[in-house]
Amino acid sequence: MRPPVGVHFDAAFGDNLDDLLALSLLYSLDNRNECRVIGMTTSKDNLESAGLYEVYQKLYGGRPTAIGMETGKVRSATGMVLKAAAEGQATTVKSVLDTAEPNGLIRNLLTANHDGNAVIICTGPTDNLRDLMKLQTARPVVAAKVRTLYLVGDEAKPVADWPTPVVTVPVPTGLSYVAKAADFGWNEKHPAAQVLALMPDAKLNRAAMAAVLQAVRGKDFVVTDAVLAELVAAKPIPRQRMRGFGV
Amino acid sequence: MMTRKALSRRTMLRGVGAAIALPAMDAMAPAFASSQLPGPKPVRMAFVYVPNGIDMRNWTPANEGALPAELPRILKPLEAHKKDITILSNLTHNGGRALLDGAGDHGRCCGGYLSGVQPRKSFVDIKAGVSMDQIVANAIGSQTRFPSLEVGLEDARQAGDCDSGYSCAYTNNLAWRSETQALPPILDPRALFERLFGTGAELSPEAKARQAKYRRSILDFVMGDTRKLEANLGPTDRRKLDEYLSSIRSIEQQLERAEKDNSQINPGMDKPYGVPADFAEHFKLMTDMITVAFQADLSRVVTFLVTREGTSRPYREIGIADGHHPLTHHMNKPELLEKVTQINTYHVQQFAGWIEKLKSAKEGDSNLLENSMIVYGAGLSDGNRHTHEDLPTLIAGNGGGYIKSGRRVVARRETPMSNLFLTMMDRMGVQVDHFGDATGRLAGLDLA
Repeated sequence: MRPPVGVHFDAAFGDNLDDLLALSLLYSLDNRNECRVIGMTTSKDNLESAGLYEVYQKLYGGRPTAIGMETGKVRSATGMVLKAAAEGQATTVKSVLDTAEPNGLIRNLLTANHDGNAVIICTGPTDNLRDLMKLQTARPVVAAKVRTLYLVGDEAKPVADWPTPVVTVPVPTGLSYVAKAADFGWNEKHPAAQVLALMPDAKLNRAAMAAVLQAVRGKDFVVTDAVLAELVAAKPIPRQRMRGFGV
Repeated sequence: MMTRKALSRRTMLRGVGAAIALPAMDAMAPAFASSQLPGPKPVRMAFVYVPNGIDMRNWTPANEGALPAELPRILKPLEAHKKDITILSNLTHNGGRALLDGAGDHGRCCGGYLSGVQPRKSFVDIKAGVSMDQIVANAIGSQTRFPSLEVGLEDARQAGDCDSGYSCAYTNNLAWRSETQALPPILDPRALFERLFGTGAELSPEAKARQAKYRRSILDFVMGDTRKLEANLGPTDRRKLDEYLSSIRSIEQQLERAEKDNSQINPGMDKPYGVPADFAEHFKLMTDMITVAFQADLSRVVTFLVTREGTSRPYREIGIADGHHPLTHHMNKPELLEKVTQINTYHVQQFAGWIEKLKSAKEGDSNLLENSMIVYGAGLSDGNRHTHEDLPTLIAGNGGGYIKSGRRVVARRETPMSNLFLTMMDRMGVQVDHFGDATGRLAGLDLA
C-alpha cells in the first residue's frame, strides 16, 4: 500500500504570513494522514528562517529531518514577520552547520518516496529548485518521484528543464479567510499566532494555502473559507503514523 | 661534494628466483621524480572500516576546530597522535538508508560505503557501484606493483544472505571493481605476505631443493644480492634497507609465532577466525605488511575491512563474550553500552598502533603518515537505531601536506560522504567530475 503523498515545502520562509499559515495547513493535513511533510527548505540565508521550520516540526510532531537553507547571503534580512514569528522560540539551529544544503537534501528526501508519490510546493523564489536541477544525480530522482511541482503566485519564476508537470497556482479570488491569533489558542507560541498578535491586519493573498490544498486534495478541490477556517489553525492531532516510509 | 647513485625504481633484490621490492630510497630519487605523481612523494590512501556503528557519545569531541587536550574515550588511544588526525562530522550515506527497501542497513551501509550508491537488495543478482578506491587504482595503479590491496580480518564469504536479503558480498567487502564484482579481502597474513613478497613457487627444482634443505626464509635467499647492493648505497640508504629487511624478517617471525601459538589453542569450537587467533596480533600483522607495502611503494591504495559488517564476533580478548552486533542493539542499557564502547576503543587502540608505525617510518623530510590519508570509520553511526547520518569518520595523515590536521571539521548536515571521496581522489591525482551522490568537494580539510 502506498503512503499518502509526500510534500516538500520550499519558501523564503518567514518573509510573509501566507507561508506560515500554508505550512500550518500542510501540517494539519499531515496530522490527518492526508499527506506527509517530507522536508522543508528555505531560500533565505537566515538561521531564524531555518530555525522556524524546526519549530514547526516539533510543534506538529513532524519527522525530524534536516532543514535545508540556502547560503550566499541571499534574502538574508530578518523582516518583521520573521522577527515576530521567531521571537522566543527554542531551536537547535544555531549555525549553518545545523542546516543542510538544499539541493542534496531535497534529492535525498525524494529518494525515500514511491515513484510519482511526491510533490514539491515552492511559494517563493525558485533558487533551491534550480540548484537541485544542477545536480547530475537529482534529475532522474525528480523525474521518477515528483508527480507535480506547484509554484505559487502570479509572478512565480519557472524552473528550466523541470522534468515533471508544473502547476502555477495563482492568487485565488473570492476568498476572504483571515486568521486570528486566538485561533491558535492551543499554543500561544505558535509562530503564526505571534505574528498575528503583533500584526493582526497583516495582508494575505492565500495563494500558498490554495497550493497546499490543491497539491494534497487534487486540482478539482474547491478551496473555501470554511475549509481554511477548519484546518489552518487546527490543533495537532496525536495519531499513529504510517511507519516505514520517508527518511 | 656529495654525489648520488641512482637506482632504478624497478631494482629488485633477486635471490634464487625470489623477488622482493625495495623501499623508496633516496638513491631512487631520479627515477621516482620522473613518475607522474602529483607531488614529490606519492600520496597513499587507505580505508579502515569497523562494523556496527560507534558509540557517538564517546567518539565526538565537543567542539569544532582544534581538538581538545583530552579526546573522547574511544579516541583516547589516538591522543598521542592528535596533531595527525582530523575528525569529520555530519557526513552522510543516503544510500545506506532503507529508501523503500526495508530492513538491511548493515548490507547497504557496507555495500555502498565506498561507492555512494544504494546496493540492490538481493543475494543472487548483486549490484552496487564501482568503489572510489578502484577508480583511483585504475587511474594510478600502473605506477605500483599492486593497483590496490584488499585486506580484512574476518569472514570473507561471498555468497548467501548476510542481512535481510542482502548478499554477503555487501557485508564482507569494501572494494568493488565493477557494479557486480567485489574484491574480497585477504584475511590470512601468510597469503598477504606471499602476495606482497612472493611465494617461492617459481623456484627452480634445484632452488626448491636448496630451500628445503636449509629451511631458510625467503629473505635468506636474497641476502647475497643485498650485500652486493649495499656496497653501492650511501649510509642513509643502507640504514633504510636494513630497517626494511628487518621489518620483513619481523613479520615473518610473527607469522611463525602465530602459527605455533594457534596450534596450541583449543577454542572448543570450530575455528572461526584465521591466523592468528589473537585479534590484536592479526591486526598488527596485517597493518605491518600494509606499512611495508606503502614504504616500498608496492601499492598506494588499501581497503581494510576490520571485521565484516554486522559481525557478531565476541571480544574475549578484552573480556567480552557477547557478540558485537547484538551488543550494539543495546536499547540504551548502560551495561551493554559500556561493552560497545570498550569494543570501539579496542579497535581504535589497534588503529593507533598502526598510526604510530606509519609515523615512525621516515620518508625524506617527512614520514609515511604525512604522505597518507588513512580514513577510519563506519557505515553506521548509531548501531542501535541504524542511522546513516553523521557517520563516525576520521582521517589520519596529511595527504602530502594538504590536510591541516589536529582539528574537528564539521560539515553541514546531510553532506554526502561522497564529497569527501571526491576530495580524496583529487589528492590522489585522479580528477573525477561526478561520483556517487556527491554534491561537490568537501570544503575545509585544507583550512588551518
